[in-house]
Amino acid sequence: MPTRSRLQRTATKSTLYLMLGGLTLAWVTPYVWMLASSLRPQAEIFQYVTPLSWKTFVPQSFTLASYRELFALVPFPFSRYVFNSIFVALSVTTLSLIVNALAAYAFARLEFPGRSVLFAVFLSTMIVPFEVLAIPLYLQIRSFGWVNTYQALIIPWIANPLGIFLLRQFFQEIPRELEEAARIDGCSYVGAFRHVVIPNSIPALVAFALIRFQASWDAFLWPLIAAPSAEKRVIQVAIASFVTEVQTRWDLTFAASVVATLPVAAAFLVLQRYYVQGVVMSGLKG
Amino acid sequence: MTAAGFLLPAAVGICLFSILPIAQALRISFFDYSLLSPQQTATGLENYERAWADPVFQIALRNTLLYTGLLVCVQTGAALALALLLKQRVAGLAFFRSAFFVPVVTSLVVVSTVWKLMYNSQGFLNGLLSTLGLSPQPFLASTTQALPSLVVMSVWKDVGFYMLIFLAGLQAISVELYESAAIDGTTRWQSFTRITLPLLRRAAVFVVVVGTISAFKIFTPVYLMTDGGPADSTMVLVFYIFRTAFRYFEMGYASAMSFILLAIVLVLTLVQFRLLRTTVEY
Repeated sequence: MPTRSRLQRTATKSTLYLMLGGLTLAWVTPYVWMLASSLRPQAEIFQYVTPLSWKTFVPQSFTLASYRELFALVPFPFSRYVFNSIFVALSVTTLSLIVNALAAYAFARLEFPGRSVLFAVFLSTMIVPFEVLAIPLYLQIRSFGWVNTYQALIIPWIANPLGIFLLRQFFQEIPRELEEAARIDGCSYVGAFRHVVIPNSIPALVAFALIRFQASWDAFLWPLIAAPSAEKRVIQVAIASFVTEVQTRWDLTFAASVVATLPVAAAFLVLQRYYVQGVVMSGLKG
Repeated sequence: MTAAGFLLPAAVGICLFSILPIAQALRISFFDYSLLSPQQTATGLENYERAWADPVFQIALRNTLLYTGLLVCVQTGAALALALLLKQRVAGLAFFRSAFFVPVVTSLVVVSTVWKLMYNSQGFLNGLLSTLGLSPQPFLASTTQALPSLVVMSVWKDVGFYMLIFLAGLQAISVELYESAAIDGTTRWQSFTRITLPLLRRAAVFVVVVGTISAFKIFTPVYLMTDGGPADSTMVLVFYIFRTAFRYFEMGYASAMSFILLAIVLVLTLVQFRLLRTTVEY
């Protein structure tokens, strides 16, 4: 009975899309509510929540006041925290690309005594979660006099064993002949690394850079401990201070959340292909 | 030596900011070391014994286990279900995948903040409940609902990540296996339990173990949404360690508790390696 099975298939498909549609709604709604709340006066935020209607999601007196106030706060406007986060995340990403790619290359290609032992030692540090490291690392940077400095936010996060591991895997798959040709042409190891290995590893490097940038942008526990002062505060710590200290300014809190979310979400949507690859790479190979 | 030049920056970083601090922490976990007083006195195992007898530590350990157990069950099931849904040759796959994945790339601080307001007594979820004619719930203000509320939020945030791992696992299963099974007359349910599930084992182990380890380290939502309350009902290990170290400045005791956390995580990691080594090959 072909018609019946077609009917059945249509029913199955409809159920599938209904389920997916409902779930997607549950995943998107908090973002819509966040955005809508950031664009209305404080008094309106909870006003149209009960009962739910289109008014819950469309500001009734649309205003950018919370964003204007956010970027005019004293002693530091919110742009200060945005700058701190961008500066720290870009520094971590750039330095960590260079340092870990160099180390990964040494492990992938160069012969030296103790290579596998050293590699194992590097990797074993991955087992220790940051939450365990937080206290001793704080004491360490305190003894360096680095509390409330950019160094404290950047330098401990440059060397990254997971990055060394992933990039090494990738470098090993580049045909050796390419490098040997370059070496015969008179390239040094550094030259071969720059002119052969790097250009052939762009997808892996982009994926790693995205993972590092996001990790730095989202980091909370460490900046909360290491740089709580208003001057060096990063965006996540600033939002947390709205929640735990200011408490009642939900309009500012929502606007700040939108500012913290947009750049990363936009970058993700543009670079999704690399990002997903990075996740799968760190997921299944790591 | 060339290799030394390539390795030096990473090696210095890992020594200085990973290996040395861990060694140092192990040392101070055997000391009575407070940032408020200049002297450190060696006290042997006293900090560890104190944790053993500390009622708040026990509550924190129990809550962490409860949170982890609940989260991992719900999250793994949900991620697998989503991956199977999206595997059904869905039009607009990229859109659905992105929708579930956006919370993964949203910071936990933002997610916790927005959900705190959604759980508010006049927040979005109570609005939804009363629109549906249901009675409002206290959510984070209740000792019985606060921890499950954190679980729900965490599933919402992370399920997209684990779904992607399952999707990658599903895509790695060759279509020919299903085709030859269909020729042999297996039902869809049989091919799901006999082919899909066993071959997803590796992905599932990853999802369970990584999920468990990351659940064990929950901190940010507790810090922002509940401060460990109400009545210690969301007091978890990392938050208790943080509070001991950075509100009471008892670094020795906090370090000892960190090592207990590390021991738990190590056991879980070893279990992961053990399970990953025995994979099914078809």
